[in-house]
Amino acid sequence: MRAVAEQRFGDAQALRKTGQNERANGAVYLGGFVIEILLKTQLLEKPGMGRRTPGGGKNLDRIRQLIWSGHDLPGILDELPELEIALEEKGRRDGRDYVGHLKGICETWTIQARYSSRKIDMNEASKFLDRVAELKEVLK
Amino acid sequence: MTKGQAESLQRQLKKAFGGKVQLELIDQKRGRYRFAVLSKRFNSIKPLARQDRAWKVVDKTLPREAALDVSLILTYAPAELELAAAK
Repeated sequence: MRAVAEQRFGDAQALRKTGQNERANGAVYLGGFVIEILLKTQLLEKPGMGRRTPGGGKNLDRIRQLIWSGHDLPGILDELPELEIALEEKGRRDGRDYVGHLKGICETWTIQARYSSRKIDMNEASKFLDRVAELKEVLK
Repeated sequence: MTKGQAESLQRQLKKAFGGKVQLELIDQKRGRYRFAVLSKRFNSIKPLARQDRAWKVVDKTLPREAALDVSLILTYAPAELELAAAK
């Protein structure tokens, strides 16, 4: 999945390199997928995540939904509190607000952007992709 | 960092916390590694304090430049994983 995330980031970068505002929405759309894929990878790799418990927990269904059927980035992040803490500490050491940037992307990016008529410019898209690039290095 | 440095850190984390310590090479070109520690000892330690302790091990084990190649250290407490699975 990490290789796929790199490919999507490459796709987004290719759109950014055009410098055309008409490609900015597409760049952000693909950039958001990079974060989605990497968060889903974290969830898949979390020890014990998604197992059926003797108590009959519903977590397995929820995790399957989050990974395979949905695009709920805040929901995925809710299942990864240890990642947030680790990012907080890494960010403190690196002088970067990884958690703030990740939460910002999770709260604002949506797969529904493909239907949005709101046009953003390449400057805005570039800032978004810069944050994705930074996060990609610590999330992969 | 080198593979030897990464394995040395893995051993020191294991020594400090017991349990299981996994390492993963996430960027071969730059020699960047991610670590995951699953330990019962974390059951009674708050998440931020776990991070403090884990990174202290990093700073004791690796030279500063190599420490920059530690991507993340994920710290898991079995009790929390049980709770999450039972939700």
